[in-house]
Amino acid sequence: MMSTTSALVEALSNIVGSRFVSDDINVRLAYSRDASPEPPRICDVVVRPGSTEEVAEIVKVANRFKTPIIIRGGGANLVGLPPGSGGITIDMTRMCNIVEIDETSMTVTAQTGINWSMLTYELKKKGYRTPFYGPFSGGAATLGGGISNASAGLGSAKYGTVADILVGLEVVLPTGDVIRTGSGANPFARKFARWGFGPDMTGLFVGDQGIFGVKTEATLKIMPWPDCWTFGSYTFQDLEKCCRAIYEVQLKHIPVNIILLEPDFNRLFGKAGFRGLADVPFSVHLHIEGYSKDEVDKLKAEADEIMKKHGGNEVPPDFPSWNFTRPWEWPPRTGPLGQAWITACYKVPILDYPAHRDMWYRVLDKYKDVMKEKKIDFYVASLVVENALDPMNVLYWFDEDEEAREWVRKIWRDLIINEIRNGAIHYWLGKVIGERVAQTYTGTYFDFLRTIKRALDPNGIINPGLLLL
Amino acid sequence: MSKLFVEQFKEEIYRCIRCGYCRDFSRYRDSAYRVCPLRENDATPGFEPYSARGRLMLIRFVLEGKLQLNEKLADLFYTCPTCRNCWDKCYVAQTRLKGKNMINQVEIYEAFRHDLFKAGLISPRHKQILEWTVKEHNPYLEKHEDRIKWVPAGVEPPPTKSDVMYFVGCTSSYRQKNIAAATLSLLRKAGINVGVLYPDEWCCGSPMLRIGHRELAKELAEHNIAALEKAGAKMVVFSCAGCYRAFKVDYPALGIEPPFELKHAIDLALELLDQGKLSIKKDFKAKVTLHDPCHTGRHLVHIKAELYDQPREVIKRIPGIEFVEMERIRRNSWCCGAGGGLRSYNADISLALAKNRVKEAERTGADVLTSICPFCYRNLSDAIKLSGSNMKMYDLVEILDMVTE
Repeated sequence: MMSTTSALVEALSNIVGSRFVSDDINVRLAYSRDASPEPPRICDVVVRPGSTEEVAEIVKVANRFKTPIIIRGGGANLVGLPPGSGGITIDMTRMCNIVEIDETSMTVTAQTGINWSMLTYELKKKGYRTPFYGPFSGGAATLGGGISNASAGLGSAKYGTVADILVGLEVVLPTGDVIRTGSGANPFARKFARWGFGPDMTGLFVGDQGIFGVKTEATLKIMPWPDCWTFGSYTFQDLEKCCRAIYEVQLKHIPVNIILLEPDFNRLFGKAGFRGLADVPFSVHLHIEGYSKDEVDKLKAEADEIMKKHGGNEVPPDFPSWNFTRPWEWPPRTGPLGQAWITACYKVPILDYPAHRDMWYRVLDKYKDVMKEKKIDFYVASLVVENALDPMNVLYWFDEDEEAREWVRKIWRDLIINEIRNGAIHYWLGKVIGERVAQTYTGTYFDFLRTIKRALDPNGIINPGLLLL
Repeated sequence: MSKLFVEQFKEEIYRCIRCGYCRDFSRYRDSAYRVCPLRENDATPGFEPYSARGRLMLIRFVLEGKLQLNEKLADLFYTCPTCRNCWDKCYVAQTRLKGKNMINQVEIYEAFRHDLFKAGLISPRHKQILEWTVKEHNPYLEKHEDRIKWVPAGVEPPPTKSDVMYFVGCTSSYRQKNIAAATLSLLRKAGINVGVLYPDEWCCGSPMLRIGHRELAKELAEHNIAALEKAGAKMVVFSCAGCYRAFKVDYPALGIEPPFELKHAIDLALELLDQGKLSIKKDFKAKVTLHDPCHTGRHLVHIKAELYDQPREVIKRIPGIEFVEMERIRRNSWCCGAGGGLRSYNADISLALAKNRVKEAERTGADVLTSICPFCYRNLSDAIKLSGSNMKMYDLVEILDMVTE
């Protein structure tokens, strides 16, 4: 008699062809981790579908076998895979085509397995870009992953998050049915409008961690490629004044990207030759874009005035001119000595940040001896997401040191709990952050989510356990 | 389990942060579209272990004792042309620490292939190649005595001793004889009395290193160096990118520093053109595009010896050529799929990669595809035939030989 796994492999092979199905332990192990320090989660089978129809059939098979589905995009998450073990991992990255660039409605529709850098590369050929153009991990992170995590990152200071540029989705529901949201729900309409034609069902799937369905196509706003840009860098002695300057710049929505570097990163970049950063506590870096030199010069002059009014000292813009001409190549993902890293991005109102930030150091004080002993470092940089600062508080450690890794997991969790209790809004959640966020939900809100999950996914097939659902 | 050879890279393996940029990362700033050729157009099933992140994870599992060496694991590691684009696009690898790149993916794969070889997990075809190379000093299952048969009828055979020796390599000796003949002709036109090691030229050892037989590679390297020294070489010229890389990078890594000046033929030809020792007398009327081999490119950038400008400069000087670049060139050049032992290990996948490169060449509108490596020549010309393309393949040395007197 055929084992369950063999029967599953056969059923999936009938859908996508045996070439794109594997139950080989080598393959399964290679899918067992994301980019976090969390321990492996080994699935039973990996499948790489090539179309929405194939995804729909895979979901139906999973329901028939009552086996979970783990949806995987770029595998660049820093949050751990869903809890449990076994099941089918769907690797979405074979679905990486642009379906349509609709110049009439100024949208692009793409399969969700495309990563942000590929999408931008293709759009640039036609003279376009999405306003928000992906998380800092967008060299691997996919469109689907970005939407499931409500990503912020490049372009977020001016244009917000992926949610703000999303027009509609094609989703394979946990039953295997396929729906389109936004104006795509009208078979006679272009995919050009998110709202109208009923409730905003697109929003249901934004930041859902994939638990409500498998996103297979997304339609996003596009804009002409901004061919003029300038940069500005300012150092500050005082964080409160620095945040006030950022806040005022943001009231006018001047830069497309803003990064705030704190002392350790300033020292690191200063040492690497970025002028004016070596010995300063705080530095703010602006990326301003537009469609003419006059436009960007005027915007820069406005920003300059605000920064200087709050005590900013202008230094050569080495860092932003390096960093923002190399999107997705944010360097500190590896430590200066080759350490591994973990962080937790989240949003906190800009003016609340100085007080909020003190909390980390109170938490870390408990671990100062072990951090010294295990060579665990803590660095901070923030990006700006419209009205919020999005701190990236990085823990670095040498990953060969298993004890150090375990301490980092503990410290990281402690930071997350305290961040949530101090009003932080995390957006990429996965297992580790998601379960802590879900514990914070009120009973009524959690029941509401559970009701939706059960209605959509009666067998609990897709990404089970995330958000404790 | 006895200590694995790859353990020497443990620190580097643990530096991989699993960001996944080694797969499809694309950079509009320099037209780097995607990274791993095994993932493009379904050339392989494209699962994680077909690219660097998955490979390094699996080695890590092996080092942690959670995975044993096995046949399927070996298959995943031998299904790689070791084009080094994953190294080139990995920002951890491109960060230097104590004068070294933080991760060196291909060196890690090849160390692991050595462990797979030691465990007897190589393919029958690779086993046959190794055995034949011990016996006849070439991986093509050809007789050693036939090695010199590339010299065209009516052409005076080159001497076996000279201060300038041409290291022909196995591919040009037995398969792309046209390239060897053109190289000899070109050097003679410049008045160089170029010698060839016969019967003492053996395989450079590159295929053995790619398969994982380091001891045999070292033996071949030692033999070739000694033979070249005996022949009085002061300069050794190569028309094969693989042999050139072996002498430039692999021999020193094996502890053997070649005591000669090492020159790729196209680099030397450019110098000879500059010195007026070679003169271009004819047109080459064609729309031409150039494929940069991995072995003269990404495999040499860390020693600043890459050959990207030289072939372009040569092309620029040939009248009649309309030169058009492909989308992915220089450090972003898309691998033809021949290298890393892939052609002999899995010709279907190797040729699928080559077909992708030919399609990219066709998109330029060029009618001629040129390169500076007989192994790239072989795979690309096979892909041209298999895909029904109308493109013509020439080595750049051949084109130069046609237009010089």
